[in-house]
This record gives sequence, structure tokens and C-alpha cells, in this order.
Amino acid sequence: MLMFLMIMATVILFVPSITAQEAGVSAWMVPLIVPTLAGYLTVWMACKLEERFSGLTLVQYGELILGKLLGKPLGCLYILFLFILDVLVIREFAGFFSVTMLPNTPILVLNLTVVLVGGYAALQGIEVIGRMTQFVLPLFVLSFLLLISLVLPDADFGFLQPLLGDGVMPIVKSTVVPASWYGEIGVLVLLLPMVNKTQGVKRKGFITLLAVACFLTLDIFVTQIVFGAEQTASFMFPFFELAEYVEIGDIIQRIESLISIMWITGIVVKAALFTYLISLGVSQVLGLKTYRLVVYALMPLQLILGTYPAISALNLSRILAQYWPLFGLFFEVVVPLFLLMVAFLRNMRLGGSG
Amino acid sequence: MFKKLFKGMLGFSSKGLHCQKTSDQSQEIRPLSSNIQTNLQALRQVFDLCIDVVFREFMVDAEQPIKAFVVFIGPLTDLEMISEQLIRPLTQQTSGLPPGVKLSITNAIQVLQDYVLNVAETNTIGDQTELVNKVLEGNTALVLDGSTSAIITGLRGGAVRNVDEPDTEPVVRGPKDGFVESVDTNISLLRRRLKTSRLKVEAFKVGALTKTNVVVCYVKGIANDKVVNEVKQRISRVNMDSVLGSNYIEEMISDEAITLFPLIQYTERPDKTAASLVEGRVAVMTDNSPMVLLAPATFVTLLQATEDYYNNAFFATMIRLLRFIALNIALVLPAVIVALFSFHQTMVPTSLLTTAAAAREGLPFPIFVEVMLMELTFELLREAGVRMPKAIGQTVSTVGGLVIGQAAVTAGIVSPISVIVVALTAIANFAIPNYAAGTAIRILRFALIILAGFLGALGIMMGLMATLVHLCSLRSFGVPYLSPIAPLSTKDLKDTMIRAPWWSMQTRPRLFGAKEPVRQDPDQGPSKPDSGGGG
Repeated sequence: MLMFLMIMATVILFVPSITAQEAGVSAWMVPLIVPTLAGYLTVWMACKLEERFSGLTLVQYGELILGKLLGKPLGCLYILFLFILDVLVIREFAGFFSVTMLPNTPILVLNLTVVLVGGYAALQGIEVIGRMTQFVLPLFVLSFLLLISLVLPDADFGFLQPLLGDGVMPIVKSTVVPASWYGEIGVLVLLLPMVNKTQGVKRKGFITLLAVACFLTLDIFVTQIVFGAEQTASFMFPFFELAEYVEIGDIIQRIESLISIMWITGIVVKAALFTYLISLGVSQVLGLKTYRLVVYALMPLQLILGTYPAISALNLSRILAQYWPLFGLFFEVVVPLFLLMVAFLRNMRLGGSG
Repeated sequence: MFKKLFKGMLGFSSKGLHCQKTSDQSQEIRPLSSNIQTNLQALRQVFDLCIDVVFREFMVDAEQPIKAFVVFIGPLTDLEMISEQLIRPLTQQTSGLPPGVKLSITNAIQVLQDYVLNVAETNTIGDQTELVNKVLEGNTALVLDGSTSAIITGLRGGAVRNVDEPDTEPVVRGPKDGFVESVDTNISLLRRRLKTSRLKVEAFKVGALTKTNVVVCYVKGIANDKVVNEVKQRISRVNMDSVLGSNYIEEMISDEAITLFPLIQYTERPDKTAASLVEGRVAVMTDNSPMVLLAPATFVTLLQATEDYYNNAFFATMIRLLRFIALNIALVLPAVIVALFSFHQTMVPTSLLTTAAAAREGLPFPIFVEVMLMELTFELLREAGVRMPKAIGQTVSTVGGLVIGQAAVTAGIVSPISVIVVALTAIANFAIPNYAAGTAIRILRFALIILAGFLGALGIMMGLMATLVHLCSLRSFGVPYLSPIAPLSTKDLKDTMIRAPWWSMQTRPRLFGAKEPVRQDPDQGPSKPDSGGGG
């Protein structure tokens, strides 16, 4: 569930536009198959690694597998990856708000809010973050479904034609973007040691992925049938535009605030989780006793980097569309795969279970 | 880090507090002497300058009369009982002893208890300090010449308030008795409802000067042993000079030192207490306080009222939803209005916006200031209303309601909208059954208004998220505060937002009463009688 919200939070706003640029009218088919498989691969690897090194995180067993010399840098790199991801998330958030709702507020202030609340949640630990998710998820799903149902009257299925008009290639090409997002489920490599009931994680991970895929498909699908492919691609936040589009009678209008609420809750959970994981990772690399100190150090860093001007809202879209997928997939899929292979070759296990 | 700082500010750190702490002077054990005069003098000295303490000397009727005296606190005892049941048999009726039993100085204590005294509750003690304590509790001590122990008889009396309808939690349909200040009466009210030996009642003494009886009640086998032990342990750790109300105990045994939310529930109603005990919770009664503490508490319990269980289930569900809406209104409505009108005018439907804009034309303050002003005024009125002598209370409501509300609008200082908002908020706040939760909401409301004033909807959301994080991190005696919503326990949802009919609530809340989960037989739902003859 935590994962679901985490991925959905950002994916819901950005991806429709990005995929639409690549795949045109067939965009809604994109998130279905290939990314789910990639995501499942990640889950599978995370579980396999966890089976071998139960109770340890990637940073810890990375050292075991590769030795201190290579393991530490790998851990650092992985943390750096998470950190960039984290900063991007925060920046996405601020970008969204400065574009849509609070154009006059400095980005620094916007970042400050999310960093503070996220940091506060991270300080409380993983259990609290998990519970928070449990609390907001129903609201998230409900408001999503509500919105979808409200725009349906405006749908025009004609926008979907021609089906597969450009062939299959554009779809495959644009798959990479959601795949990297799905790959975020790979943070499981850090989370798993803290899961109480380890059995069924694989199944749950898969269900999560499926749910994400369904919702994302629905998201893109609906955006497309309401706006059409070209318009979707031209929007930065198609889903938000979708919400603004809703107007039923005089009473139900301006639903976009609902979306903002969904978005904020999702982002806060996501930021909290990343902050927690990064701090945990750093404390494990450095061998600190508590991760809390790192959270305090992390907060100003996030704040400053999140305000870094080069990542303007426009650039952000491009980064997310073009560079991020490869970068992300490398860490999400390749690194765990590599570790797993080395561990397999060296036949390493922990706990002596054979 | 901040927490530590805050704790330090509140004086949580014990550095520099090494002075002598308050205690009742005589803590050491001083055995009673066999010489009655020594005892008498010693006790007179202890009770020096206490005019309420009565010493009554007399001779116990025997072949060789035995010198004796009783000591008790006049206002705390039943004088008639003492003279009729204690002194009269001692001075007159010893002749009725069965043959072979002789009353003498050496066996007086035993024989008197066995054959003479008509008092239900007696026991013997040999220590002067303990004797003094017992007397202070309202017992009567009988000291005999030649014995190194004394008989304590429980002939307590004195003024206690009658069992009354609870003021703070009235119900329309349901029992009308409420707890009073006397813990004995309260236990009787509870025991009358739970006629089982599994209802355990354990007493603790807290407070060096007040020596308050703190009673822990639970149903053995249903209540989680860990919780029970934790409650007992925390109470026995309490070390204060005085305990004058249940909130003293509440703050001392609460899980989290710094929180706005009540982690322990309180109630004045015996039926509510009994229901909680049956759910597997623990009740803590404090002598001299009609408020009984219930632990563990969760957030949803604060939105439940006793009345819910005495009404039609569907109606109760509706009322609960209403209360939930009230909670939201009380918490965010003013903040939302501030955010809407100062940041997000585009989100307001056009017709409403024009109406509001027309109403606000020519007003001197921005809406943020306006709402803050009105909220503050309301809080003032409310506080004044509570503290005022009842006779003047009328004036406050007239002045507050009419003059400030009406006049402020006509004078063009505030807009009618903010008056409506504040009034609605206030009413919604009163709809929250738990007063302590209401106060938490009140404080948060101000915080949210300020956040909304600076950051608009984003500020509100961030405030709410931070609150949510805080709520998620809270635990009340090990039970997560937001359960059964997070962590989710679907079965327990039957008694949260909705109130399911009794026949469908087959299990106890999982987190309180995990030991004996089944409450009643399943399938007891009312069904139409089998229509045998067809129909």
C-alpha cells in the first residue's frame, strides 16, 4: 500500500503527458505490460536478496557481497540515487504548486513545507509512515475514482482512434518512462528488513504493481478520451487540467483542489519515506547508531537542492522524460541484479540456512 | 532534539531538584506500646491542634475492667454507629460471652472481635503510623490497655454527594446515574453493573499529603495483561505531594508527554465505564473525583457518545457521521475560508464569490485578520461564560451574541461571512462529545488559520499532514491511537464511523481485548418468526 501511494503520487500527474508525447493516441496501452514486468523483476530480486540476507538492507549486504572496498561506494551511490530521486520529488511538488496554485510564493517556502513535514514523519520512523499511508490511501483512491467518474460525461472515444495507428514501436519506446517509475518499488531493498510478515511480500508487491498499472492506465485513458492525444501531450499536468475541466451544474466545479489534496498527501508520504530511507542508508554506511541525526542534516540539503534553479518546471519535465528513465532503471534493476548475481556466484547466504 | 529542549523547558530534567521532597513527617514504623497512657499521649501529640480528632476514653466491661479509648475523626465517621455498635457493646454487653470464654487484658483483642463487636469491618494493626493513617481515612481505632495492637473498625461516614445525573454527559435514553466524588460509591455503581468475580478492583495510594485512593478496575481474562500491568506500574511510579483530580493521574501516566490529544479517556458515566471494561479496557478511579479514566483510548473513542448505544443503530450511525463532519468543520472551516478568499478565489464558485465580495466591500481588515478576530472573541466569550457566576452568565451571552455579533457587522468591522463561519465552527466544536478532544481541536484550529493565512490551501494540508503524522506516532498504552483505521482492522470498523447493531458486534476490539475475542454467539440477529401456518 505504501508503495502504491508512493508511486501513484507522482506518476499520476506527469506520466500521461510524457507518454502521450511519445506514443500518441495509443498511450493508454503503455503502462500495462512491459513496465509491470520490469517492476515485478525488481520485486522478485528484492525478495531473493532478502531471502539470502534476511534483516539486512541493500547497503549492508552490498558490503557483504562486494567487500568493504566496493560495497561502501555502491551503498553511497545507491543513496545518492535515492537522494536525487528525493530532491526531484520535492521539486516536482514545488513546481506543481508554483505553476498551478501559488504562483507568487517562492519555491523555497513551498519546499520548506514539504521538507519539514516529511522530515517530521521520517523522524517518527517507518511505522508511522506506514500508518499514515493506511490512513490516506482510501482518501486517495476515492478521490481519484470520483474524479474519473465525474469527467466521464465529457469523454469522447473517438480520440482513441486510430488504434495502434503508428505501429507498436512508439509504445515500446515510451514504456521506459513508466517502467522507471514502477522501478521505484525497488526501494523495497531497503524496506524489506523492516517488514513484519515477510511471507507474501512478493505477492503483495505484484498486486501493488498491478494496481498501479490499472490506475495509471485508467489515468492516461481518461485523460486521452477527454482531451485527445495532442492536447494531453501539450499539458504539463494533464490530470490536473482534467480536474479543472470538471464542471457539473453550478455546484460541482473546481475539483482541482481535490487533486491538490491527493497530490500533497502523496508527496508528503513519498518525501517522508525517501528521507527515512536515505537517512537510514547513510547511517548504515557510516555505521551510526541512529538515523535521526542524518534526518536533521538532510533537511536543509533537500531544501537547498530542491530550489536549485536549473531544475525549472520545464526542464523537470524533460529530465523526467528523457534522462531519468535510464538513470533510474540502472539503479532500480541493474544494481540489485548485479548484486544478486554476485551473491549467487559466490553462493553467499546469511543465517546458515543452507 | 526539539523534544528534549521542550522537556527541559517544562522542567522534565531532574537536575537541580535535589531538595527535600514533601512527605508526611511520620514515615518510620513505631510499634504501639502496651501501656495505654503512652499510646494516648503519643497519639494526642500526633493529632495536636486537630480539633476534628476525637479521643474517647472508657472502661471495657470485664471482671477486671480494661482501660480503653477510641480515636476517630468526627466529621468523617458515623457518630451514631460508633456509640451504638462500638462503645455500647464494649461498656455494657460483655456479660453475654459464652461459658468458658473469659475477657481479660491478655486476650481482649481476640475475644472482643470474636464475640463482642457488632462491626462488619475490623482488623488489627500494631503500628502507630499505620494507625494514624487509618484514622485519617475515616476509620475508628480502638486501643486497649495491655495490648500492643489496636482494632481498626470501618465506621466511615461524613458528607458525600448523592448519585446524580452526570452533568457533562447527559443522555436521553439510558441510565441517569453518574459517578460521584466518593470512590466507594463509584465502585458500587460499577459492581452493580458487572456482577462477576472477574471484575478486579485494586487500590493504590498516591500523594504524600492527600493519600488519595486510586483504584484500578479491569475484567480479568478480557483485559490485556500487559496493559493492566502497565497501568498499575505507571500508577505506582507516580510520586506527587497531592492528587486532587483524575487529571493529575492522567498526566502522570500518559504515554506521550507532549501532545494535544487526550491519550486517556475520561467519563462520568458508570455504564460507559462498564462497557469499556467489557471491551477489555482498564478503568482508573481517583478518589474525590467523579471522572473515571479509561485506558487505552483511541482517536475514534473520542467521537463516540454513550447515547449511540442506546439508540437505533442506523440513527446512531448517522449521528456519528454528523459528528465526524462536525469535527472537520471545527478543525478546518475557518482556515479553509481564509485560504479560499485570500489565495484561491478561483476555486470559489462565481456566484458565491460575488456575494462574498459584495459583503466584504469596504471592510478594513483582510479576511485572515477578521476570522482571527472573531475566533478570539468567541474564545473569550466562552471562557467568560464558563468562569462567570451563573447569575451573570446571561449578561455575557446577551452582550456577546447580540452586541458583538450584530453590532460588529452593522458597524462594518467584520463581514457576516466570518460571523457565520465562527458561529458554525463553535457549534461544531460543541458537537464533539469528548471535551478534551474539543480543546485539542480548538488549538489546532488556530494553528491552521495562521497556516492558511500564510500559505493558503497548501498550509492547511501541510498542517493536517503534520497532525496526521503526530496522530500516527501516538500510542495509548501500546495501542496505536488511530486504530482501528491505521493499522486497519476491518472487524473493528463496526464501531467507529458506523455503529453496527448489537447482534452483529460479535467480537471485542482486537487491540483491547485480544485475549477473549468473542463477545457473544453469532447469528443472534432478529429474524422473523417462522411462519408455520404459511402466511
